[in-house]
Amino acid sequence: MSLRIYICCKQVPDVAMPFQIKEGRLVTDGLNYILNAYDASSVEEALVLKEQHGAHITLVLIGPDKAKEALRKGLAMGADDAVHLNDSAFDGSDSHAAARALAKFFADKEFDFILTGKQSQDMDMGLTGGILAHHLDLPYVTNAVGLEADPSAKKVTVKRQGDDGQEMIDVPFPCLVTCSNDMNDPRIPSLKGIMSSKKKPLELIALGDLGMDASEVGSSGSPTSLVSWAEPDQRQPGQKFEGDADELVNTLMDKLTNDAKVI
Amino acid sequence: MSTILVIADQKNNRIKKSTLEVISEGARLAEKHGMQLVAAIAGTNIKEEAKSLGNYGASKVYVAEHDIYGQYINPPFIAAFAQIIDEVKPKLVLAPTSEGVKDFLPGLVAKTGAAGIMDCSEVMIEGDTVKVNRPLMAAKAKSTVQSSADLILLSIRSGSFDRSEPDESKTAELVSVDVAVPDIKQVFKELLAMASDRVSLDEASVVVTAGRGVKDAEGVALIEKLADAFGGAVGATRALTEQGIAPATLQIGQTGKVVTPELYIACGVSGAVQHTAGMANSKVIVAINKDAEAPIFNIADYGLVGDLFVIVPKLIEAVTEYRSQQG
Amino acid sequence: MHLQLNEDQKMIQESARDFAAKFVAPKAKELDETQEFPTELVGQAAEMGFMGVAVPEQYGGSGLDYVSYCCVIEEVARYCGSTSVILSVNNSLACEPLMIAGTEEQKKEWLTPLASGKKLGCFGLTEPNSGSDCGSMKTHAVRKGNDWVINGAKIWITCGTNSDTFIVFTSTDAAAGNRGITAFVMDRSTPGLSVLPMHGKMGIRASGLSELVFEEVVIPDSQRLGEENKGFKIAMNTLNSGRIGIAAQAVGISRGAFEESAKYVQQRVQFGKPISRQQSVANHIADMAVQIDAARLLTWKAASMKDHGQNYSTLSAMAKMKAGECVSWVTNKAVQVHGGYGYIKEYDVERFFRDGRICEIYEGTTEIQKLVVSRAVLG
Repeated sequence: MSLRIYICCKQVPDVAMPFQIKEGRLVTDGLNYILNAYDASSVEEALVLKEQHGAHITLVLIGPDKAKEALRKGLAMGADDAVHLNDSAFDGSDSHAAARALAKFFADKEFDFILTGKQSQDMDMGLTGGILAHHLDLPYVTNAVGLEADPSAKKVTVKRQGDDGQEMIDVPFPCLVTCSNDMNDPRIPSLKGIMSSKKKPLELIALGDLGMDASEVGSSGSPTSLVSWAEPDQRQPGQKFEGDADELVNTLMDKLTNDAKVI
Repeated sequence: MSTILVIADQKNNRIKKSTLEVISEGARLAEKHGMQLVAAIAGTNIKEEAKSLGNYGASKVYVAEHDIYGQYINPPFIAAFAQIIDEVKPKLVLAPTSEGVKDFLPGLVAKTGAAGIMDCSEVMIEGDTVKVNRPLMAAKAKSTVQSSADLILLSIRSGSFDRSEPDESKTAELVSVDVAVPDIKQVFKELLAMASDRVSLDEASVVVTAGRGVKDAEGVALIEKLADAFGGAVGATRALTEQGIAPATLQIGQTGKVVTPELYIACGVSGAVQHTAGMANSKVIVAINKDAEAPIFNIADYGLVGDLFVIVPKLIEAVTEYRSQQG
Repeated sequence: MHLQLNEDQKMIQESARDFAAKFVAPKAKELDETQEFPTELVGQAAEMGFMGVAVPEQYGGSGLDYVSYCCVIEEVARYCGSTSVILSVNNSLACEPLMIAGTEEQKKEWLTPLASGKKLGCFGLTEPNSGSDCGSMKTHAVRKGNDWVINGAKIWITCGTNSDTFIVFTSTDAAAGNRGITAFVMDRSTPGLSVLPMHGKMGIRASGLSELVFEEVVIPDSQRLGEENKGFKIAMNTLNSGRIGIAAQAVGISRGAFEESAKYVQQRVQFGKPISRQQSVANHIADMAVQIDAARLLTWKAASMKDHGQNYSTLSAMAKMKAGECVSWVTNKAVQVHGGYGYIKEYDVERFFRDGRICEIYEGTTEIQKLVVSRAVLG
């Protein structure tokens, strides 16, 4: 009784590397792009479930030609096949437009559950997964830090990071779960995985294949728009003290009570 | 006249600090743009508490009361707030950010057909257009996002706005909302909570955080003592939660909690951006680290370069004595 | 010409980089201190397919190209000289002779376990009195019926302490010098074969350096590798590709020293500003960057020529020569820009300095490489 899993992925700039903002835009020249870390965790979790129960894992990604690399990464990790929603019409889609396109894709698909990263590392918006779930009328849970599947009972048990602790929530199939990268440590593709990823099916889907028109996606289909980028607000450094521990503590207490007046 | 609706966040039927910051800003925006301000809240026993939202300027508070709101399983919250939004027909909905609220907001955005923008730090209204500033790229960049949709829903980053002084003379009309409990497929099984008598990170005015330099559980215990000396909360960086030395609920950072206390004390924390994104809006930041070059010193108001294992015990003594003298 | 890694190679480089950062980096310092062979790490590297990168899949390898192999070695060497040389020895010095001269049966029996990482191999050529002049080796093999009896000793054998499979070169016709050398493959369990660890190296201290002693070691003719007296060519051809691996190792160690230096000079403040703003220091960083890129390009060129079936022996000598000089120069400068901190174990550069120093010596000294190159030019 194996699982049928879809994973929604995105390719994002590597936020760990330096980048520049010029004239209100992100300088994309020379940026290193990676599979969104939250999606990589989703893939890893699905692979663990595949090892436990057997599964067919399909990756789904909306992105330009270059984003194919992210699909290859997921395939090299061990996913079975991939779908690339590739059309210039999708460029500039916000979470709403992306969710709309994904919903069209999933409309005729059968599956046990869809996994998405809880947010993407570039936008940090955290909306697409939940909006997609609504369009597909699927129960959803966000911020999973653990996932177990029970194929015979047709449900997953999600360990969700809530405000007060970890919540254990059962969700019946079909459903959608958004995943935190605190869930696991994604495996590094082996050389064998990398080479076999080339042979795995990768389907290309254009706007017309989804029966959509350009006004539903891209910038025209997005109710929100990112107008400009800027440097983050910088906090200014204050005073630094070195020396004898007793003196340091005295100085600090003095500052906190008399200057900052916070105690 | 158009309306701003503020969604309130509560825990155990107490309204959270972050909600008060959001409603204060809601009131400022409403006044500036000649809009009406209302609030919405869902809880198991929340009517009394709901009244306080009037003190912050809400003319009406829509209240949904039912046992089902005891846990953040999203369907009932989506149903309740969607119904309220359908009745009120606001132009702008503001919500605070917590894991609980983040769970139902996407579903609420979809159900109401709103244009949603999450994690906003500044809100500007220009006619039909709402413009926000929000962090991007793990808070290493800032952006301006806008929407001219008929209904716009924003979640607000903690600490972005100052809480106004409540005005007891202002009251709100409480409107009870009867929400049909929807079909709920998710089953809440249990909460693995970290039992603690300490004030929560969201509400604390003092937060003391343990970073990698704290090393182990014994070190964390020392940090907890310092937090207790202040009557504050304990936080941890990912370096510690990843290794299981501190529980994940204490994690502060871009993917953990965002806190905005009066006083934030970072012990053995290097100050990587992923962490500072979660505390950079604290009023006063103190850093204790033996590495004089640690990036945390770039944002600390007061930095102590030294061995935290020597400094913290002395600080505990000093704070305990000071506070006992204050009575 | 297109001087970029292709899509596959980029993915391979990324995997190797992530593997090195996650598994190798945390252990590197400890390995240097304890001199303990990194058995666990090697096992993890085997799971990644790193032990037989360019060996065909039918023999248990990953079936990839030599440029990809260079990427793997460089990424591992970036953190750990010891681990990278173990990988290089297994790939280039142990697998390669079997690829060059092994029969189908020999490949199945000896190559497959090595390439898949189930067993570890090493290369026994050097002796106390025959290094560069390997034709003067004293270890000899004498025919006895259908067997060979081997007596002698080898020294400076990397990985020997933990190897299962030994490629050994013996003199079978002393008078013929280079033309009287025969290669054999044998298992550690062969009676008469002893492995003695060698301690106290300056660098690559966890690489399992050993002496091999052969006392009346009897092995069947089926374990002879290639034709009688034709072993020198096998050794030389093996070293041709081994050179590329060592060049990649040297590039990796250089890069480690360079990256640490670039970080350090931006943090270290003297005279009110980071020392990176001092021209003399910035110049060192610039020189390091160029040296490393140049050494890497030569290494990739040699690897690419091998991949395209071209004669790469001169290029591999050039690559090793350049990369060896590069690592000595870059690590020396790295210690210098770190000031006092370059001279103490708390910082990694002193380990890179010690680890890198061997690159100009083993698998053919820089002087031998210059001989190869000058002969190619001058005839």
